[in-house]
Amino acid sequence: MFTLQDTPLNTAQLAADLADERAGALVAFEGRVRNENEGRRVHSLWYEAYPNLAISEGTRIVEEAVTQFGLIRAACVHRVGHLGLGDVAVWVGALAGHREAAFAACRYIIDNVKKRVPIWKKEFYADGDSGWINAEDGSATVRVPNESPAAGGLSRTVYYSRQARLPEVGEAGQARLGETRVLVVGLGGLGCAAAAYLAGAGIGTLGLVEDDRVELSNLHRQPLYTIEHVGMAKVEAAAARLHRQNPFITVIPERVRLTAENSEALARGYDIILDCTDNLETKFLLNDVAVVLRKKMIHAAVYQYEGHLFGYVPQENVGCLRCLWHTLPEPGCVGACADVGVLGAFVGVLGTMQAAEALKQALELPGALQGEVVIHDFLRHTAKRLRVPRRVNCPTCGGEYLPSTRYYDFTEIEVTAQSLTQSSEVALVLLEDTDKSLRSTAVLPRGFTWVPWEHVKGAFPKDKRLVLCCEYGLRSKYLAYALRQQGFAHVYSLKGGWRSLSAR
Amino acid sequence: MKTVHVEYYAALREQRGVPSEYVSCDAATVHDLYERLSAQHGLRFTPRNLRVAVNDAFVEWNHTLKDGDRVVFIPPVAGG
Repeated sequence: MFTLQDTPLNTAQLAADLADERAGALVAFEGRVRNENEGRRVHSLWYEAYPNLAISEGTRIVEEAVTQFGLIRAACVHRVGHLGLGDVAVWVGALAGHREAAFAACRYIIDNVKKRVPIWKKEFYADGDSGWINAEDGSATVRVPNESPAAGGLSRTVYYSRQARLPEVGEAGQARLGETRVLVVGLGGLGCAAAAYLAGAGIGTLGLVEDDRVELSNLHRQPLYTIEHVGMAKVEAAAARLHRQNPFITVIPERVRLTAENSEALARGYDIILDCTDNLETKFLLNDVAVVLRKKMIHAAVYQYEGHLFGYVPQENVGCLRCLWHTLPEPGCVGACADVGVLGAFVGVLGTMQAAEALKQALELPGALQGEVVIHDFLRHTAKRLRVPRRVNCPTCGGEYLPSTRYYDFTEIEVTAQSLTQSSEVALVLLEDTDKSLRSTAVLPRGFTWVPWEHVKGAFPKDKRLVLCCEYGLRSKYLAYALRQQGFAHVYSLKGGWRSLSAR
Repeated sequence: MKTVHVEYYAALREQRGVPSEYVSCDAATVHDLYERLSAQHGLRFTPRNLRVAVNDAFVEWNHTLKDGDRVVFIPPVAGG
């Protein structure tokens, strides 16, 4: 599965070892030592690993890829020791029935190995100098295992001693927290509070998604940052700070804006997603990702002295964010912090509640929100807890989806707006009730008409060509795939969703 | 005539000026109730941008209003 090797790699033999008659595709990747890094001439490298953790984390990555992409098998071998120019430093092989899964899985393995596996690289330069480089070039990925030199000989047992005393935590609970992977999307007032408490609790892998830089107007409510950080990327400042808060966890900073295109890849490797974003568009996108990938999700949103906390779990009869908000609220009716103002303590307390909910999920403590929203009035200290039932015919979470979250090949199913051709036989089926003005500004291909999902469901003509369309094109492609499995041969999904139409 | 308890949240509370109140009226549904309150107090949200709960459960806008009901109007929030 995943091995370390201190001798040169025989890539032909590695590929041969994977062979299987069921395989239609083998995609192999070789990472090689090159002669230059950031403008400096390199003449050789030294790779050092923390072997036990490298092998367990590497094996986990390979197993994740096999499961998620439906591979026949996969392998990854990483070199340690001294390597010269042109030597193969890492080899990945992904074997699958079809090439799409093999390409995607190979990419997944190498990207995650570089991010998550504790391997350090020392470069020796032509000018006689040398320096340690993080394995993931140019990123601020922080990977520090237990008892590593980077933890400075600190005791993990002492670190967690106060929470380990809780009967629900103890050694077993602490181990469970260490195995839990949480993705925090948005590092503003909510995300700073949530990430700090999750890091402190020992959530083993903490992913951070944010593309903004620290601004002076952030500091009053975002205590991960100081004035020295103004102008710096938030993920980098936060990752460095969290690493110093708890050197026993992995922090994975992702300096990107969450989009319909990158959302699945970002979320796939995590157990729980925290929505710490500040706009409804991203909240709905995260909701869709959680639903199609079957992730637990904790949304939070604040309005001055009031906070909404909503917990989604992929279970029967549990509503999602689109069951709470049947129709997308019109632009302008949702208050943002920049417009209506906010005090740090009030957004911080809500972010802290998100962290507490994630810990409840990870430790299986009672009372975790499962398809429920809590509306807190922090001035009056009142809270209203309301169940969000699954909406009848909700196309998002209504049980139409595929039996597992493994990797599916959607290339046959996805069509772009540009490729849609005029035909009276084609209907664009809307999976949600969008705002009328939005629908009228969307440039609809000629010959297409909008049809609400409710009008199609149950009376779906199997011979008719239908293009499913949702906000971001995520739910529609999974739904189209599931319908094809049920014999509807001419169902497609609009890539990028109706957002891609209105953007034109 | 029936008397119901009404709670407002977020921007809607600001528009109404109070967090909650008792309302006596003969509105048949929660939609009727909201339309009356909206006309009376100049509330700027339309029902499509609000959720309504009665006695701690979300309901549809055509939900029949009964004497003694506790009604909550909730606008969407997104700050973070």
